[in-house]
Amino acid sequence: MAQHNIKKVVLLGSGALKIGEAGEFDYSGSQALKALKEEGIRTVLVNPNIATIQTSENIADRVYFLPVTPEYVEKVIAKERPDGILLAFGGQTALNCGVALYKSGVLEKYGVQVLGTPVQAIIDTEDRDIFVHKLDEIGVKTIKSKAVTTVEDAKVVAAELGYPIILRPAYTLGGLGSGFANDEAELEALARKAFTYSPQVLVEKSLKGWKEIEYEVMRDRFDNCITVCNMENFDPLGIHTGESIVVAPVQTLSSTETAKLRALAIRIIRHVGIVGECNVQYALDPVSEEYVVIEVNARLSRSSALASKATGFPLAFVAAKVALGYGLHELKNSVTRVTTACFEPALDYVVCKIPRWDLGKFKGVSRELGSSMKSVGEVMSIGRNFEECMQKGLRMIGQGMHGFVANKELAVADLDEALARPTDKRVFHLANALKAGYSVERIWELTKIDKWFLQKLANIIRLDGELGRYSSLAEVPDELMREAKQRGFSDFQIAREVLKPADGDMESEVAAVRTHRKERGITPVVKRIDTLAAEYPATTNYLYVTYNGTAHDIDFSADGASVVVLGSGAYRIGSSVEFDWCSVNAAATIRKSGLRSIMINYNPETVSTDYDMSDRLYFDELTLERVLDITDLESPRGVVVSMGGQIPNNLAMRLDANGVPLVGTSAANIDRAEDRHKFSSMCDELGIDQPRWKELSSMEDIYRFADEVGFPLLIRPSYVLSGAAMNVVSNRGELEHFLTLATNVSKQHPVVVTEYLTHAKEIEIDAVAKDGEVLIYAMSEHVEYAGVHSGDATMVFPPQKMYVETMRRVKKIAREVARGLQITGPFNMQLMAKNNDIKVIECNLRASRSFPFVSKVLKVNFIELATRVMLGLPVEIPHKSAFELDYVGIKAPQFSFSRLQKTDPVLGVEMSSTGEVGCLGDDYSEAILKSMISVGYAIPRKSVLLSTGDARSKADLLPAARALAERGYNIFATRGTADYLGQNGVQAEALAWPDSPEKPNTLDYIRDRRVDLVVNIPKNLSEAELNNDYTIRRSAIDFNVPLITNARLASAFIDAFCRLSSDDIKIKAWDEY
Amino acid sequence: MSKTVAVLSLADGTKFTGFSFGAELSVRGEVVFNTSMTGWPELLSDPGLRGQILVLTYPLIGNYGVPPRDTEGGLMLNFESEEVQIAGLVVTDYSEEFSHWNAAGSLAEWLRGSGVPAIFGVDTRELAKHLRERGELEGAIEIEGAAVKPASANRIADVSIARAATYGEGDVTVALLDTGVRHNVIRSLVRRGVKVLRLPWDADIAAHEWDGLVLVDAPDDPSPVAGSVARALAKGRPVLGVGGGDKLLALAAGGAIRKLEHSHRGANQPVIEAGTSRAQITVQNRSWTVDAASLPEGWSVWFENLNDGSVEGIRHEALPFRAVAWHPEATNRPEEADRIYDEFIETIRRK
Repeated sequence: MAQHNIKKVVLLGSGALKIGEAGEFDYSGSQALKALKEEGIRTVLVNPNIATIQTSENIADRVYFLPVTPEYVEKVIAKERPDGILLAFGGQTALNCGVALYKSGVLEKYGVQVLGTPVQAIIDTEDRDIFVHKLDEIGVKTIKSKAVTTVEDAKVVAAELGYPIILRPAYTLGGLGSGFANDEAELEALARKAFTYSPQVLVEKSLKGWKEIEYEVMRDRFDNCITVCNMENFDPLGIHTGESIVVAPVQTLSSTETAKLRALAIRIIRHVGIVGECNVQYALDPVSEEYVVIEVNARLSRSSALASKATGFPLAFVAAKVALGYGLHELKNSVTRVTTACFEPALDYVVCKIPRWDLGKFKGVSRELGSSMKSVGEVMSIGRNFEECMQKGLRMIGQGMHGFVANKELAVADLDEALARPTDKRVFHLANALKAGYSVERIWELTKIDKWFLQKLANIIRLDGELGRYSSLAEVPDELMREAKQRGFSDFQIAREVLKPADGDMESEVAAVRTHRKERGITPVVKRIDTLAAEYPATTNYLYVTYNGTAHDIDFSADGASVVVLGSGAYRIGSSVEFDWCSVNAAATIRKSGLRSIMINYNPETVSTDYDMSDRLYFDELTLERVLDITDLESPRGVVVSMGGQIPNNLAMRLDANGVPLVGTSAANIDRAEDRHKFSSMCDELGIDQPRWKELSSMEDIYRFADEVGFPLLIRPSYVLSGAAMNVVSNRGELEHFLTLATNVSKQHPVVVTEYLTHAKEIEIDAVAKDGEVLIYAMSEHVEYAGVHSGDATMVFPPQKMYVETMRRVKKIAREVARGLQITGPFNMQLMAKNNDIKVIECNLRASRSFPFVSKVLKVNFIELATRVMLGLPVEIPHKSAFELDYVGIKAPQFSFSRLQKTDPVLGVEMSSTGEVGCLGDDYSEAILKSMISVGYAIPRKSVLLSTGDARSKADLLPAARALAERGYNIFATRGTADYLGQNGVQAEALAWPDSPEKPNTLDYIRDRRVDLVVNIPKNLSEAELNNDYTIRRSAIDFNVPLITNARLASAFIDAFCRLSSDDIKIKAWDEY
Repeated sequence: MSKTVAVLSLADGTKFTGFSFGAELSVRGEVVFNTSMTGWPELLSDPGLRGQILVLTYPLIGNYGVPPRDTEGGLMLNFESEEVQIAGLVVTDYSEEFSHWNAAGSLAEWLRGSGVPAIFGVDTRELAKHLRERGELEGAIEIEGAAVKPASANRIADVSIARAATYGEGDVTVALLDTGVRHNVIRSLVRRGVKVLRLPWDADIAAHEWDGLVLVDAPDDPSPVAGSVARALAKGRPVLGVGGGDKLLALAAGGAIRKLEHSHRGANQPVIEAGTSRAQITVQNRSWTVDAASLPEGWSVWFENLNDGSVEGIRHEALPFRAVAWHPEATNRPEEADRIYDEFIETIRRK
């Protein structure tokens, strides 16, 4: 048994969600904490990500919402004096921090034992040279590569290895700064950038077109090893695994190939000396058994989270137990609860992971996929054949696609090009190509996607064609109908192919398909994921729905004691871990109240899709069709649509129309909040002010409205040709430009034009109401003025700089709206205030992004309260007021611009942050500093570059500039800013604009990192040209210099670090506030 | 593609309907399931499965095609024997088209060429659950209008070599009683530099010259050959049982065997060496186990199953007799399994 005398452990989280490091680490960390808790160990968690499950009550014993950096973690260690530390559960952030603490001797100094994989083993896998040498020792092949430390050396090595070449900076996450170079010029540009991320860069021969295979392996201290899961990338090598469609288990490898890679994985984990979990990535020649190891990750990863969900084997939980000294053979399989954890799961289904991109949200971003990750989320689909699995998955990513076929036409100029140069849309171009008569052989030549996958996709096209031969449902033979369902066709796809309706919502046609096939007995079955392919009975309810089966694995009871919670689907910009927190808390509340919770969600990076978080987990689609399939079988007491963000919210009306009981606010009232017109007329009735808006369908009307309300205006087209969907225009020229280039105004495609207030304060209110009466609320203010998307804004709770009068009015409006919409459950409102004049921007009758934040700051679980209210259970209203808090909470956004090449890192009406943190401070400045440092900013050492935009923001930033000067910072500024500062008595050194040949130049200062912070305020609100300001912003991102583009935020940050030094930041746990 | 309906009928009256993709023949056999996700070419050609109707729980079958019939030193490189040994195959989703650089043909072609019927479109998970609860049942694949393939009278004789043969060269000779030997067993021995003498199932082992003896699985009750094995044991020379060879060794030593509650059929069976913390994941295919309580004096349990505690290996405390219930020669064996053969050969050489 485990031999340890560990009483207290620090676990490092991964901080804010970012591209390459997302929800999977909430899952891993939560599992590890659960495993430690079982052992009676006191746990201390360092993670500023306030929206996670792991930073909730009763998960860790203590939570520090502090940056996961050596400086702060050392202070936590000094205070907490833990016996051990876990580094493997918080992604690369935690691992890097841990390695730094080890190297600096901090861990030794405080006698902290690293549990699990020894740090030396981590270093061995992270340092490329050591790694290659280590694998050479056991005769395992690695990619021919060389680590270099200068751009010149990179060129020499590349010439030796031969192009194409891939460059990878060492010690970075998700392939940050890596890329392909076809010649020396490309190499030089790439290498320059790569060295800003890491002092060591690997130059490798590219193996584009090879298969990419992954193994998840575990080892305990007795040297027992298991391979838990293998996975095959649908996309061949060359596309980052985070950007690839991944299939588990492997599909196209022979038994000798899988046996060989498995044996190698075990040999590697033994030789490296992992105690816990690791991931081995291989490249495999598609025409021989030649292989090379690409990399080994000595920690839990995105792939391990996926493998856990794909197999039902809780890798992180078991890894934590193994780290404590347990042998695998001493642990139980948590699905069967009778068999051992020392086994390799046998799957009797196939899963697909499909990435979700949100590239449309970013101006100017390159859509091409490569060795660096850009996707912001992922889905996992489960089926019993590849076609079913793939079509489910393509629906799940939620980008308006209905599967592999029956989608809206995707226009492309050059199909060959679209196949050969992969983008986020390539999978749909495969459908186009197959339809256009491309042979599997030809597509393989262009894509190198294994022919097996292509043959399966061709099968979908064949069925699609067969369906299209009929024009009424009665004509379609049952056998074809069944086969289509078995190959993953949705009712929508069948309706579109058979009934061929004109475009529109198609709701009646889709319903007709459902009715028809139910009459014909074509309905799906529910299967269990049991880790042992039916060999042993399972006790947990990890379920999926399939048409490839004849019997259900479970029984259904219509006792009315179950409640369904609809989860949030794939993480995307605007909807991520915070909605998972809400869903999980709702399910937990349902359970606590003695009812059975049924979760539906399909996101492998979440805690809600952990099978022990609810009584039944349906790892399946959140489409109307699938939810109805499930409610038909489960006959629940009700369905919760208000916890998972917009996806479930959008289903409310249709579920209601299909007779599914919703709990909480009625569907009709949800619609009254969602429908712009209905909401407006209610506001008018209640005398609540809104920014003036109109839905218009001709240019003349738009101009007339513009004359009436004046510029700037917010334009929301209903049909988007290119670029982002929303835009702000400052004058008639911009309006014309946007309306003609980016959209199409017509009767069918009207445009919503809204008055846009500048310099208005934005306020949010998160609340819970019961029968229209507000029970509890939390009011927050934004640091930035209205106009920055609320998801990108820095939020302060309780508000520190708001008029009492404003607060009273906001509260009154919230009460009136709650009453007007008869809200029962959670709701969120966004408002703006200018001189105590308050306007409502929007109202959502669901939980919002900020629910976990305000719940944790106020220490009142809004979701638990909301869920009880919705279930009709009695609630005790906590008499707790935000006014009584003697601390401040700040929620700050995390951006991932560094991964989104070429995009303009500027904030606007479209959200672009990928995650957030929430920190507590004794005052506003301390909270600002903690939260900004947590999202990657650093207090500048000596130099700041200012480029402060128009006259107004120049004036806004003057006090901050003064403070900088007083604190002895060197201020560099672009010409106009320098002049302005000089006139106002602040000494600043002028630098030339990037496009000027003059020296000293801003670009050189950024590239050479001679400035520690760049403040660049855009001059206007509309889409920026590729101008000097853009170059400054983009260079700051590319060369890893912290950048702020908002005057209010820049002032707040500068003011904070001029008042406080990093030593003033208090190391206080959540429970100490 | 017009599809021919095929039905799997179980002895308890349960029927599973699907479509035919193998030979158009009707057959009878014991219906067994296997949970391996890969390795069906090896499984279908495993003599231990002779005459059984095999149900694969992994639903996607046929993806990588059937490898070529290459041989080396008289042994098949990609299969466990020269032919398809199972009586019939039942799967969920068959891949008509395959893709692999080393494929020589499709699974359907192989089955048709071997006269073995097969069904796809069956809910093999439901079927496996059924077999798990009821125990392995007799059953039949029925295709309307198809000829009925007669069942074999003696499956052990069917799979065994007719006359003794030798493989490899070496300082010592290892006799191998062919009650259904997998080619990988022979290869594992030859690779270690020994000469292998493969004897027909009904040979009098003791009458031949050898330094060590290997016992393997049999597709039927191995009792008929227990006498010959018992006489061989009397010589006191090293004996190793692999992959079901433990049953034969136990019977010859005077022990008994019993049916397992849940069969072990897959590539993920965890076994632990008794009295240690060393576990390994093994490949197995069996529904019988040695009854630990029946073991005579001097014998002890060597390996145990981590899931159900059943006997996974036995050894004699004084004499060089050992056996494991799993396949230490399987393609996807753990590296540490090599020690089973290594130690056996060492023991012979030490003599």
